[in-house]
Amino acid sequence: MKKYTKLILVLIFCLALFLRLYKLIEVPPGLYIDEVSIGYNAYSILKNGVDEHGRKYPLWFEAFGEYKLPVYIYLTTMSIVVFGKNEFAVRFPSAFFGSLSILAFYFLIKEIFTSRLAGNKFFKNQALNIALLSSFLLAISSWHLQLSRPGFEVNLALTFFIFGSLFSVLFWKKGKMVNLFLGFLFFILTFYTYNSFRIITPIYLVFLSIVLLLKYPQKRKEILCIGLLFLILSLPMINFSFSSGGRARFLATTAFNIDDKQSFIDKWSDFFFVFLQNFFAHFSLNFLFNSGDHIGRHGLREFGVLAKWQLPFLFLGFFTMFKNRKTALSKLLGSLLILSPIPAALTTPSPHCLRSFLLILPLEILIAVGIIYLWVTLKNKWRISIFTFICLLSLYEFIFYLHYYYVHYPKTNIIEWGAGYKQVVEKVCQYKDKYEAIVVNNQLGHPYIYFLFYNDQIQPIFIQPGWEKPKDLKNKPLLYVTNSVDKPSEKMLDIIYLPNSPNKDIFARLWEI
Amino acid sequence: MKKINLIKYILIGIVIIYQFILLRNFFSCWDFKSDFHFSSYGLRLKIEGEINNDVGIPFIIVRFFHNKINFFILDIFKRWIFFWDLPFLLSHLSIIGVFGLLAGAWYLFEAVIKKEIKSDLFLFIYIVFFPFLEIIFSPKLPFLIKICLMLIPRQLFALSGLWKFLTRNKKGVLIVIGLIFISIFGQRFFINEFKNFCAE
Repeated sequence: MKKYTKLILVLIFCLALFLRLYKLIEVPPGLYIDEVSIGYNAYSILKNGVDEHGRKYPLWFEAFGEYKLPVYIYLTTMSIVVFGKNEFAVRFPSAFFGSLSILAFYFLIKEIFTSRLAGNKFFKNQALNIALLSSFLLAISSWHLQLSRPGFEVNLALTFFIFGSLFSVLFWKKGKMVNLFLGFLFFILTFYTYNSFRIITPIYLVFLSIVLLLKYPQKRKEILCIGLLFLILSLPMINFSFSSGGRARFLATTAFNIDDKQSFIDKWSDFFFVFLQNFFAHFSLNFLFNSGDHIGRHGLREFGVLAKWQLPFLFLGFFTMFKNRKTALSKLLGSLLILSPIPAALTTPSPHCLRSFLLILPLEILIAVGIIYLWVTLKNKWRISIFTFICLLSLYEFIFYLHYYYVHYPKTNIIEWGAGYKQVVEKVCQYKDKYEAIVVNNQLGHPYIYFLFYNDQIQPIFIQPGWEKPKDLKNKPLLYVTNSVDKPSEKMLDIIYLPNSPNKDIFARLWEI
Repeated sequence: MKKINLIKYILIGIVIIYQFILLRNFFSCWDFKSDFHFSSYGLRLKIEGEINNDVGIPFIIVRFFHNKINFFILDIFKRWIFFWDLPFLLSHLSIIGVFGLLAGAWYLFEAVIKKEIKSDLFLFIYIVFFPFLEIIFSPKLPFLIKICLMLIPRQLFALSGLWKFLTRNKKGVLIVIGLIFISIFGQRFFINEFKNFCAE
């Protein structure tokens, strides 16, 4: 097996890359509003050095009542340099880093399971197999695929987190300061990439620092220096987190009723039990295997975040780990299982696939451990037949998932992905020269950012319902874009249908007014 | 030594009473919600609905994915999961009961590894597979009998797990007291949950 490890790993990486890049523009269909915002801000930074609001090289990007973190946006600027301003450029960083995380995950597990942390012969002997299988499972995971194809920042943050953990484990094993420095650098990047990691990373780092200080008391000064450097680099984020802009996201999504009339005990018991309820919702079998979090952008409604065939192996892996609960490895996995859903448990809706994305790592490891455990435990005559059956079952379920993802998903979840805006902008481009001005009804969603992204040469007037034609334009014909069924004039120019819609649903109409 | 045993019996007694109170909530139901039951009509509709999205796909591929066998298995699995979903478990077991269920499964796993077959194994197999009968056939039995056949065996398995946990762990008593406390105080967050599982 050792002989072929590199080859298998390369194959897994190629598979991961293919699954993440194939038809990246078409599926998911259209760019979601956050992706367009990322794309336009990145383009604007690249072109003029300012964001959409005219702020020079900002650290926080204002977007739709909240602030976006900077790493994904600045990374997209590079992607735009290579691929131009299009959908592929916005999604490429996520897809590429998503594939890269598979490799990093392999090395992380290999390093952990071959270290003294494993503390068990079974884990040490099977380290390579568990690492290969875990990374393979991550490569074909519907949860990981779903979140690493669109431009979701969380996927990038997860990749940085895996790299950060990998370098920390390397430092733990070899004691080289460069590894610790790189590890902390990646952790800082998670901090500036996705909001959930503003909670996870500090908790994780406090524990990590304590463990490292206990292991290397002679390197206390160096570790503390790097810790201090991290603290200094985190200061802008800490400062931002306590500002009104930084708190906006949390206040908009908090799961807790902040009611001053409640007594102290009521308030805290509510807090505790709501948190507990949300926390355990992430371990609900319905969430894991049936339906995910019911948000169309985060998954397919027929599938949970894990494949159905993995259910018995998850339990088997959990029990195997619990059997070896005294090992540092089990404690590490246990703490990751507890830590991962915390940000999602503090907010609503819960469970939430994005905010608890870190959970995918311990779950995939547990499933891989379960599979390997069964493989080792079974006798030869049973082993082949049982595993042939499991392979066929998992292959069928995976192909079934791909069929739903590529054929059904672009039709059933089209509205959630903002498809149709690109066609609107293209149609407006065709008519624009004939009209004095273009008027777009804001009922369409947030059309301004789509116009900026797809063609920033057009400068429409965005209006609210109840708008009336200004006197100076009274006698001039205007191009009016709306999704309303009202008839603003007698002359309808065009209809824009939702792409791929089986029922030919209308997305918008163009009128001359 | 005897005093500690008495405390354990008292704790188990409290859990039994508490679980009976939880079960009593279900007495006002007359059946489980339709989510728990398989419907061949619903299955047919679902397949037709899904096939409608497969425009331009070769017929053989469409039927390879959207056929009765495949959808039947998926449907049954989905409904079986409802029987093991956390909110449903909490509705009749509460936090302490779910803990007992997990503890019971763990001790059973340990015994199976050592190749010891225990009576718990039969009870476990029963509670794992019995929901299939309810899902597929949804027998027209009085709901009280369904509860006796389905929910009480789960509570028994959870109690047996809890008892083993109490007798095999030094800190078992303290942990169980803590969990009973959390279960009782936290129940107001789950108390109405059972209504989500009753047929209207």
